[in-house]
Amino acid sequence: MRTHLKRSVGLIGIGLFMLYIFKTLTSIQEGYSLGDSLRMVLTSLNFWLFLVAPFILICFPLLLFMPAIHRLMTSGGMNKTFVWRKAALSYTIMGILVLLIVGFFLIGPLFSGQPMLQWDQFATLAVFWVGYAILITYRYFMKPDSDLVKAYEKGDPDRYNDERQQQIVGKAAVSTLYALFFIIFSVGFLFDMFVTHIWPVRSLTEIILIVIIWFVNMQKWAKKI
Amino acid sequence: MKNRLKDLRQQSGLTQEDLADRVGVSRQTIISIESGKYNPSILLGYKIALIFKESIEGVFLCGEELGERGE
Repeated sequence: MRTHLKRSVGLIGIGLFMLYIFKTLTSIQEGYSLGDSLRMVLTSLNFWLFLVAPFILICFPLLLFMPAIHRLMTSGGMNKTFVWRKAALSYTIMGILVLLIVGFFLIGPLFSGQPMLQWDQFATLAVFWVGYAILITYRYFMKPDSDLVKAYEKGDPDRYNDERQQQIVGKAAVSTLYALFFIIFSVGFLFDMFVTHIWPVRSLTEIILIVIIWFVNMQKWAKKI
Repeated sequence: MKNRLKDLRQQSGLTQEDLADRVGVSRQTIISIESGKYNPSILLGYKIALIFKESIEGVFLCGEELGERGE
């Protein structure tokens, strides 16, 4: 639990650092100097109240909640229906909480007299809720794989995550990587070049980063196996 | 790779579920092995062979694969 707590705090820290960088870059784009931007973000009420606070309030409970869900579904001897219904109920309660928090931070500015959030901030918050909506829908309406349910009921998820499943995950990951290259290249790179007529720096950086990470991981696994 | 898994399993009176339980994999994996879609690792192949008291080559027939490569 302590390790999980540390990991959760670490992930939140990384997320907050990325938000800080993001807001600083936004300020630079608006014409402020680097020094001013770095200072302005830290003293900005908008940054702390409508970006940092929702991020912590949403992410931290979610991260803490994950082991509880895992324990719930892996405890042995529980009735199949009971386990999944309980999991669905847990997701629903968390989803409603997330909806309330997101709603507060989206509508809050209207009552406090501040301008409505920018589209990217709105989208960032909304994505949390969409993710939860998909999870809840899945839990209620999609029948889980019987092998998966049985494996969890016996408290032996390794049985489901066997060598074939790992191969499936690996092959799917490689296929996704190829698809990602195509999407970033076609949608991002070419769109910027031929439609918006700006240099496709972001797409190019993404592609290069993915290639570097891929090669590093290839080397790592080649040494291990 | 062809195999005699289905025959051996039926002769032993085991269901796919039983076999999956005994070797510690999912039922879907046993289905895939029986249909020849998935080639198991040596360890899993060995576990399966042990259950039927056979050698690995007694369960999994690699003749065609080896022949195709000219080995």
